[in-house]
Amino acid sequence: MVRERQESGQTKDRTPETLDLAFESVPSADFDVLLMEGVGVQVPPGYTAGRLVRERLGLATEALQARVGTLCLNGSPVDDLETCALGDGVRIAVSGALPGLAGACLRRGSVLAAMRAPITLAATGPGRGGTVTVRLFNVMLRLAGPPLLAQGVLLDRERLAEFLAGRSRRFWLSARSAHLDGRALDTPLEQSVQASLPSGRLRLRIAASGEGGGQETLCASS
Amino acid sequence: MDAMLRIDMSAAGGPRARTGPLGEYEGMGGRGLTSAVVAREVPPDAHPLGAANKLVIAPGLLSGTAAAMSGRLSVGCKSPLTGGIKEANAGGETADALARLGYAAIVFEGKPPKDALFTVVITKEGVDIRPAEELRGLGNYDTVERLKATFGDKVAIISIGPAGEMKLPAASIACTDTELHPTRHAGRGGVGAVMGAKGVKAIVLDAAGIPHRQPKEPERFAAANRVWIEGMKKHAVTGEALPAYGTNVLANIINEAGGYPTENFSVGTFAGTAKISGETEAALETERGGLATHACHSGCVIRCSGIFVDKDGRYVTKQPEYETVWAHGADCGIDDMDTIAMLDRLDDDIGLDTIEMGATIGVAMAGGLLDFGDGPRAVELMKEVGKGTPLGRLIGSGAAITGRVLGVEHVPVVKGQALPAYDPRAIQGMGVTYATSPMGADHTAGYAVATNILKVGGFVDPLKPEGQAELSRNLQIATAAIDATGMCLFIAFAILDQPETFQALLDLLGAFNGSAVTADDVTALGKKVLDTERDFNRRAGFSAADDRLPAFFRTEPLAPHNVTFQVKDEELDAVFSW
Repeated sequence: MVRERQESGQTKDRTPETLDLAFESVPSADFDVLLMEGVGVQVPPGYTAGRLVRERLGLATEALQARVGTLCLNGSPVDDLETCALGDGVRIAVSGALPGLAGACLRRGSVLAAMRAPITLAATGPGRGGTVTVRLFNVMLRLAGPPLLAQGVLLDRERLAEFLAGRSRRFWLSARSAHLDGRALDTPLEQSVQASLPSGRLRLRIAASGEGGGQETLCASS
Repeated sequence: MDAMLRIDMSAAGGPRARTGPLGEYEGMGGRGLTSAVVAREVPPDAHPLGAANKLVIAPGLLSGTAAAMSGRLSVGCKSPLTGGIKEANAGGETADALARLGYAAIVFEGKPPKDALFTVVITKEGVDIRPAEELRGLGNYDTVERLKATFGDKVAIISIGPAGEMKLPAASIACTDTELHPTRHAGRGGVGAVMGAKGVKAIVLDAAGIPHRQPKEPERFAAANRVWIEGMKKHAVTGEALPAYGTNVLANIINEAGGYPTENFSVGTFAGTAKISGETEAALETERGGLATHACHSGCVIRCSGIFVDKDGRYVTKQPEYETVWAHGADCGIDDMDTIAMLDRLDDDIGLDTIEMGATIGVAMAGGLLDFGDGPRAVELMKEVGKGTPLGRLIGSGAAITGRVLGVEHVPVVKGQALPAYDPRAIQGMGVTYATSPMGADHTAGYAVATNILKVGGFVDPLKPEGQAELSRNLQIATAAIDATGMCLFIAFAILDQPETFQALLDLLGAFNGSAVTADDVTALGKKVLDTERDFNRRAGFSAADDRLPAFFRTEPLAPHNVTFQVKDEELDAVFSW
């Protein structure tokens, strides 16, 4: 369920429609710009940044410790991911290790954390859950991008349409199938997908197709 | 590398070279050596462009050896931009060549009569100084092409462009890279103007056939080098992030943290960052047939550079680095990589400091000379610098002078030198280093993040906001020491996290000289360099009042965090209390 604001100013919960795209070989780099600018992820109440990294980004505890260099909540560096609760509308950015003195300062638990004290995340509320915007940078694009896209990300129709319109012929040639809420879309996919996009917010899921064209890696929706 | 080459540019009958022992400078290298010579031999009241100033060019202690990442070349003088002591350093192939030729330093003294221009050619046979009239006015790219036609492509070249010949305060000194492109620059502080004042257009270094400098303990040295390289390759920064995305990997996260100075330091985030990020840049280079991973000098295993080509696959420039992309990008409101790459090419060709030029154009935009985001006009403005028009000479004089002429209050400089790509309101500790470094605002002055290993200045609790001064002090000490070794500062991350890698660096230094080197020795070296530089600046008239950021950093909150610079003056004044 996602909460959408109506013209009347009221909010309304709605289950977004899901667009499943399956590729012979997922063109991961094509999705980088979406992931860098941010995608929506639905989280339940009490969810923490640590759980998001493990469960949605597919990084086990050891990988989290080794690979997540910097994590920011609404632009503030976070030192303890397990106490960083997530609420509706927050923005999470996840990066690998970074160079430079600034990169060292922004690290989780950096010995130089005092140098960025005024912007460090002090505390979060109880974390009511909702839609969180997740941004992935640098090595996280390859490490965490595929599992995140396989579980599904929330995007506004206009943004998704713009993204799909900007894809190359190579992208569409590698696409094997497209389904909207389980309904197969006709070929050529480039036209049918664009024509079928519903209004409002929807979920995009990306999968690699098996030899027979079936989808292999679709996961439970978020 | 036990000789010092002194060239008297004002000698009767033309420049005269003499080679002698290092004497009192024995055992010094890189920044340690350049700063020692400048502090001891240049009168503090000397005009930076006058005969009394000296230009010192020195490879690091480990340059010319087989030690990986040891290819930094230091350039020192009294700065025409700051009026204080200056060390600027560069990668490329020149440090290795100069060290293998046996020189710990070249010292240019005096200045030629009239406006004579020379090329210095150094081979294993000796030194030849010849007129360079045919190179006058040429950009660095054409200069190198002409010299390559004469001396072949096995040489390494140090040169200046038109900016250096015009003695502009933002002029840099170019060093050639592995492809013999003049893309690696000792950029900061106007060192190119001093080379121009000495009448030196280019230095050709021919070290062909000369082997690496040999350590006194070869087996220990080789073993240390293996651990050293392994340490770089296995670390997430030096083995993964930098090779894949270059230094511009920082753009997205610095922007995310609200510390990415935008439109002349007016806000901390730039809407166009995703278009000019390291991730986007690397993908563009790969897609067009350039290179996203490339070493600027032989023996580097980090390979943080790249090759930027245009949409037709033609070479434009090396991969524009984080500072360049920020300076010509976000700080000027420009989000087009091709425009930024062209500006980088012009910086390298005209011979200009990329940080100073980006910041200056940002100030010019704030002053109404052109609009933020106007890439084509920014390119034209850079070309005016190369042509030496009155407006071009103004821009080539840097942000402080341009701001004064255009009546701009918001001028991001310390000691006359433009701030780099991290807003000190968001990352306050960086502001401490900007304010107090003897070099003027310099992001590399406190870069060597090895303080927890060196344990200089006492323990600082990372979770408390106090202690900025202590951290900055430790960082500046460690950096000054590394700058003396010839090592690239990007080694800092591996030695921060991996004690065995730091030990390997100590072992490289010790095995080369046949001695034991400890962390305390490194600390003492860093302190000595800083003491020397601070003493020169004090004698040149600098005081605590110069160790300050511009007032607007304390009075104008920076969005999105709405913070001001909060470190007290007393803390800034305590940075060098040891």
